Amino acid sequence: MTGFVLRRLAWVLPNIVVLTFLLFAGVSGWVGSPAAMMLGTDASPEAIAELNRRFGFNDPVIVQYVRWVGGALRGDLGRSFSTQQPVADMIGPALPVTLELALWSIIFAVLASIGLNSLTWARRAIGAATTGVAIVCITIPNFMLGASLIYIFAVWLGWLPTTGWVPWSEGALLHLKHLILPVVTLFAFYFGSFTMVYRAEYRSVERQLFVRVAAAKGLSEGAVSFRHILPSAALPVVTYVGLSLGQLVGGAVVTETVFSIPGIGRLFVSAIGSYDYPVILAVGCIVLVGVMLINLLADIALAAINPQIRL
Amino acid sequence: MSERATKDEGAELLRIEGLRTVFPGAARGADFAAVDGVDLAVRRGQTLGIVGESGCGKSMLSLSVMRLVPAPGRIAAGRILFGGQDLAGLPPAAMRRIRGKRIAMIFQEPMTSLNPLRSVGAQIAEAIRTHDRTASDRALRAAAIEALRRVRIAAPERRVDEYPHQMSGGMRQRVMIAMALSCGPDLLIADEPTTALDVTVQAQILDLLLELQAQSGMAIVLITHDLGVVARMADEIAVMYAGRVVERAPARAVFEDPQHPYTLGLLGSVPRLDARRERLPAIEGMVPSPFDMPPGCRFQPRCVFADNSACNARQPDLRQIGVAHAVACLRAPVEELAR
Amino acid sequence: MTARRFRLSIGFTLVGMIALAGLLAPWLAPFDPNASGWNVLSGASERHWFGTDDLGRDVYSRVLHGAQVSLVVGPTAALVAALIGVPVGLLAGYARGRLNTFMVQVIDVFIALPGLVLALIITVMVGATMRNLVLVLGFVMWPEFARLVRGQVMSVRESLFVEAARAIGCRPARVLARHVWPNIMRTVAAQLAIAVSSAIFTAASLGFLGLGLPPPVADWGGMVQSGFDYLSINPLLSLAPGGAVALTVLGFYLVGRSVE
Repeated sequence: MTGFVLRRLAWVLPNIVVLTFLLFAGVSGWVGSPAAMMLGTDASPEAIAELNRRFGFNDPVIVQYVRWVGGALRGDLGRSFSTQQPVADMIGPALPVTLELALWSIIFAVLASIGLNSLTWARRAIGAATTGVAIVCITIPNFMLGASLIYIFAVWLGWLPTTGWVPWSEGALLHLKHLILPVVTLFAFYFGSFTMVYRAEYRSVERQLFVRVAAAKGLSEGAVSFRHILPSAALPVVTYVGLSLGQLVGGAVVTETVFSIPGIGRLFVSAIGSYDYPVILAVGCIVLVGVMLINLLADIALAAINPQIRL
Repeated sequence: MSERATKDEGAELLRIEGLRTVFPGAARGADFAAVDGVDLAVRRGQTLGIVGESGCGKSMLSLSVMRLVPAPGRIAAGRILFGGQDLAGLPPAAMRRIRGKRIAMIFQEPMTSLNPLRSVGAQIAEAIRTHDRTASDRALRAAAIEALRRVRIAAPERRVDEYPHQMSGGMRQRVMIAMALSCGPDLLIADEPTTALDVTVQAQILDLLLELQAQSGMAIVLITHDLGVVARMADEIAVMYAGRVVERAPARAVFEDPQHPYTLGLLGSVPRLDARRERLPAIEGMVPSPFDMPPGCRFQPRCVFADNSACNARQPDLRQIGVAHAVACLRAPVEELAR
Repeated sequence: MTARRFRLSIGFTLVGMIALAGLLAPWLAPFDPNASGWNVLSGASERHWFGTDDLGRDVYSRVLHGAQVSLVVGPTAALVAALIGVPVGLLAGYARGRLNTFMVQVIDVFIALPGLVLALIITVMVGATMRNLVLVLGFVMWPEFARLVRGQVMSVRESLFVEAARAIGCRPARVLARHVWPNIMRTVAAQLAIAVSSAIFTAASLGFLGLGLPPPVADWGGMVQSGFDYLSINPLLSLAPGGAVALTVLGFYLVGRSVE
């Protein structure tokens, strides 16, 4: 097992380095003169040259990269070009917000997709309905879903606030009210894709002999479904969930923009809009490293459950 | 041939009358009858062997009795009388009370018939608990251990917590039997219980079934394509072909005095060590496909005794030609043909 | 009608409608999509079925013209992805041993990267023109083609008839072309449709986030975003183009799933 982990790490770590380097090189190459960006368009050439020398902007890319990584590992991710704040201070409060949004969405998506698709009451009707809803959920873009939900529930019915985010400290109920629509928006896509995966697994487990044997013992349909089919069918879904976590960022980016939620998604989008290179770089690298680590953990978890994969 | 003494005539336990199990639209739009008008009866303490090749409907027959016919199949006609009730018309909740408790079933593939994620003991306990909600966990565990002991699994206290993949095929089949018998059913349906096992293990399992039957007095319906198995185990044999019973008689009579041309063919094609033959005689032709059923007797295309006009006209019904011996053939009894 | 044919017919209907809208937009649209001047932000009316936007442009005409963008970007990006991904997949599938495992891991790395984020980063660097958009989307989608094709190649490769062909002396390239490819075509065709839907989805998201084609092009994603502030005044500004995206994505997706 340790051999497996070490071998996976040996592949993942160099990948992280290469990809973050590519990102760094790409972003810094594109930005042109960071010094000019920092000082403004009418800075004198001497001031720019001075800044270049001081921050080492003329050094080879690799050297700059290593310097940046060194700083990053110490918690220093540079300063934003737009706000002059330390990037780490911008990311710090934003990350938990995105994580909370993501966690609620994924948890509900898992529970709903597995639960609804294991029900045995009115199976054909509920199954067809759930599949239909799932297809709509994975094709509808989150900005459309978000906009529609806002229109229906906030503008037309007035039940919920339109956009914005209220931290827990200002009241749990208010926080939750602001949370509902964004969570539903983000949850929808994952509900759809988990449903498709789970239903396929369910159908294949259902055909196995031990399911018929369970029925022959006199168990009710529901007991067969939840106690025998569900555990075997849910396993692949769990690993699929792990891999989806990496993709979650994309969904969060749009959802946070729609609902004006101060998470790293929205931070990323506004950095892109204002060409704020340190923020783009920092968030991009965090996402990259995060995705690769999550996938690594998913691989390890899968290998822990299924010994055959440890080859 | 078994040398067992004939069992005492017990009371009738299960009676199947005119059972038809169909799959809609399976044969070019028409219904395909996997079980097409079957009449059978099983007595208490007796073993009925159902013999036939793959696809003859014997497994579907057993699933019909258990009301576990996979969708979109369904029971289209007939009655299944058991304990004073017609199982064919029973509501689902009532049928669940019978499954496992009064009629139990064991299946062919021991390697895939147990849930890989749960311990063997838990699965046996589940069988018991389904029919006895009041049992405590400790009682259930003790009962599971005892069930394993009854099927002669060594060190049952240790085995009870093991997982199926830790056991061999033969042992898993014993667990299946233990699970099936855990509630003391009156009838055990065994669908090819030894087909997937090694020959030596086969004998052990069959002996075990006989022993358990002697202890509990339960009836067994044994489904198989293996004439050797049925010779050893059955009191009465029913031969099935293309969804119908073509011959039904006490075991001895089937082996010593077969009447239906298909039975003759089956027995003739059994390899024997004590006879010299160059070639194993096989029945010519193939089982008819659902799309292409002959209008009259279904065996007629392959039958050497067939009289084409009469045999093509309509399907023969089972008729008695001797004490407890019934055949579905217009040309029987065979002695007349030999003349 | 089976579920599959039902899906297929709905999918084709939707795709057909959108294609017609895009192709015939110049004739179907009652107004010039870029011409402003009518009442600003008016609601749905007889003249303006979807109302007008903040610059006085007719929303219905803009939605129709927006179809043209999607119909160009979607299929082209999907083709680019296929042109990269299929050969890579064929190579990965046919290779054996360590080369095979290495390529799988490379493909997996790319699949793991979140597509939208990657597209955002690259687009902001190279600029959002039609050509760049198509290339970026193609680049984001190729790994899925590679993974699918590789899987198919490997399963077909193990099958007996390919062994038989090689036993009589066919060269590897010929084996690939004659025996392996026909079996893969169906999967690739299905994935093409799904890739079109995915490309339109991502392009619209990019447009929503401000990285779509520059104005005054009527790009659905951008329209949703600019209409967002006026949800309470004329919701159709956002919901109409948003709905158009949803229906287009759904249509291509259904077609792709039914072909599988």
